[in-house]
Amino acid sequence: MSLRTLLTLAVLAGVFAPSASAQSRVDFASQIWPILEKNCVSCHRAAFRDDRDILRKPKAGLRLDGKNWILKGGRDEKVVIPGDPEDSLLYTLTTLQKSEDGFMPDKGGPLPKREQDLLKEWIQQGARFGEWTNAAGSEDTAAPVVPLDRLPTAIKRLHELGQGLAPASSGTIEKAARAAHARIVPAAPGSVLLRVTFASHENEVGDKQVAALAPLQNHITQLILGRTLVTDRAMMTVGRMKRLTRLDVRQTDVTDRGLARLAKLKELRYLNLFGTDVSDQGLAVIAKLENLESLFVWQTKVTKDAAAKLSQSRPTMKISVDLTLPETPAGNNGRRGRRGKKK
Amino acid sequence: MTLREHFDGCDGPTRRSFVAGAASSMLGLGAMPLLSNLALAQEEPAAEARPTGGTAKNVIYIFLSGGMSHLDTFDPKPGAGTQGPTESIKTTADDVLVSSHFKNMARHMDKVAVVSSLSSTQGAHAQGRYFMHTSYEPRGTIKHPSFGAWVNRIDGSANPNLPGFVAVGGANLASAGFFPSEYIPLPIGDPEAGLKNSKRHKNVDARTFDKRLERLAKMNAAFQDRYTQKKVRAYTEMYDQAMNLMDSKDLEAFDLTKEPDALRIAYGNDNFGQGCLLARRLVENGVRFIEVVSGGWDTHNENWDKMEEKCPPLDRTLATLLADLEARGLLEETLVVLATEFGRTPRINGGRNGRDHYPKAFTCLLAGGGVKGGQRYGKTDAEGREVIESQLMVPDFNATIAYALGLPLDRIIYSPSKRPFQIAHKGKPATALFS
Repeated sequence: MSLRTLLTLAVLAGVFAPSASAQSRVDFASQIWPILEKNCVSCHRAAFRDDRDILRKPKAGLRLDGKNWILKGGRDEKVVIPGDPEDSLLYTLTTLQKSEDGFMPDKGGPLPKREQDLLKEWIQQGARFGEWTNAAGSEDTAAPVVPLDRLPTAIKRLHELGQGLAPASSGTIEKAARAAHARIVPAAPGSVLLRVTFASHENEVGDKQVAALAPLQNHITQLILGRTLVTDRAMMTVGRMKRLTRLDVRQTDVTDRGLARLAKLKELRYLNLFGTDVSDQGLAVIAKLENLESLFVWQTKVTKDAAAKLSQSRPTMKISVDLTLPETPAGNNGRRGRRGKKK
Repeated sequence: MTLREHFDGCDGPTRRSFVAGAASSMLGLGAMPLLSNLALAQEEPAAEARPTGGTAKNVIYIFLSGGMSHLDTFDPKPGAGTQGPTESIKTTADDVLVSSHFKNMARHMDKVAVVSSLSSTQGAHAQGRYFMHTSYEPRGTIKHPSFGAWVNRIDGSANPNLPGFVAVGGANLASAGFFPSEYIPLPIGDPEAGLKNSKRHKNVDARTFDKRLERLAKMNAAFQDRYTQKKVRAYTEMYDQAMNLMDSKDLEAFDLTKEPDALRIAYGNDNFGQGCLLARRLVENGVRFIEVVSGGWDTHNENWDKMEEKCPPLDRTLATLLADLEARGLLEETLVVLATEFGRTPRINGGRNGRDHYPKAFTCLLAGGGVKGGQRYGKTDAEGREVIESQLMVPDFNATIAYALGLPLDRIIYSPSKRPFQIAHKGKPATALFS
């Protein structure tokens, strides 16, 4: 067997291993907590005085005896990144070889493979705790990781919108990203919802690439297609992204026909149509998108009258239909004025 | 997660990669392949570790080099003895007055948050600029990375073909510090000249060029095999990046002639104005951080004459930039920052009719990126001498920019000398600025 085949097999094994065991939801209280209790909590718990009256503080500032402590992580770093076991130290450090630095549990042998897989599954599935809040006898006084009332409105909304939705698997995301030549990242820190961008124009992105995003249609909430080659056809795929809040198709070939396909996007708040051929006809569809807050129709066929009318019926919507440049002639702006094309 | 991000994960902040790094410097090169693989398997915590913030994805960072007088621009004190002849005018934001030099900006202040309570610890130009750019005071033993380098280091470039950090004008203000060479900002001297040296030489045809590259790769191969180190790789990566860019359509981003004349003129006929236009084009192409520098704000002599000369062009350029970004729907995801190294003394330097360096209280602007416009954050006293409300130290201001971008303030990245650093040092973001 050649080295290449071996490598390929290794890669494939890596890809399929997690999904093979992905059967049902892992329960924290009955499946994960026993692992932590047995292997971790003797060091990672509230400060206490041992039998020689020496104060023992939680190692690395990490406590694993309460939900919020676990989510808070250690002194320097988090240990659980919901949905991402490969980024979660709770998983990566407990799957090292015993000889490797950082190996956990420090005292005692490596976790059995079955327990390692459980940890991975649990994190993959979003690190949910169910009813469990803290170990018996310990108080879970850690502050919640992100105090929700301090978040800007836009981020709060994303959290609400993604509530109850299981995160897309990293395999699905990677596959879609490759097929669509897209960059796919969480829409907000910690959100299960996704943001998709196509900044580079190296790979020509058109309707086919957008169609490749279909497996993520429940997760995509921001789709930035500006200046790509997409047409009305792509709007069929887009029209099914029911959690879409932000759609940017500026300077594309999208027309009124494409807009008609967006009628069901009830969550849409931002729609950028700058530099497209949409016209007053298309506005009829837009008028029905009840959550829409910002609309950009500068350099389209939309007339100022129609925009003004829409603005009247939807007074809270911000409609950008024009660019007002500064009045003062900018001829002497700077000392050089080298182009001298003053008009 | 791309392969590239795996590589970036190499010298992350984890204990193991820290130790791997330390070991590689102590054990010499021989141990490197094994250890670098080890570090490779470990990634840095991503999404969840971040404090959540504004809606910004990109930053246009306008830096007024020399120290902008807060009293004569965005923190005027009508009637105060320290004001001098500068008059102030009302704006579209109820509580915000600006000096009469900013007639166009007055109509856009509803989009702008005026941060009037900045304080710096550095009163000399080089040190002040360094502090603003890096959040760290200068030290003899280390060179800290600029904020733009941090953004790309933590969050990656959104466009694989273009550099994620571009600096227009004002060479040497921004730097990658101790970060790898790929984070060095791309310097643009003249924004109208396009990207220099991005075309094949006219006497070298495509075949010859490819042949030369092949030969180069052959010559390099043995050395690279022997020393599989980040620094060695950086050389080849630099070539690869350059090559990608040479053939790329993204190069058009640098071509300002694609813009209508009226807009180009509105931005202003100078390097600064055209630089801001270039910045907007780069934002459209996924460049994360663009710094545009305007010089000559060091008004020790004849402050008021200088203000009359410097402010109106800045006013027009800024107003055009904000209007343009907004009309294109780009302002929600683009944070525009107007920064400077310090303010200028409220006390008028009578002999020279000027104002001197004043780090104690100064003003910067934030617009877009989820920042709530139309507000003044913090306050100085009636004469503009002291911060009397919501003081923001320089690291706090940078932490606020990081917050707008949703970047993790607590993320530690170790220098090659194994010392821990954070994007905004220990700054605390002013979350009240966001809607």
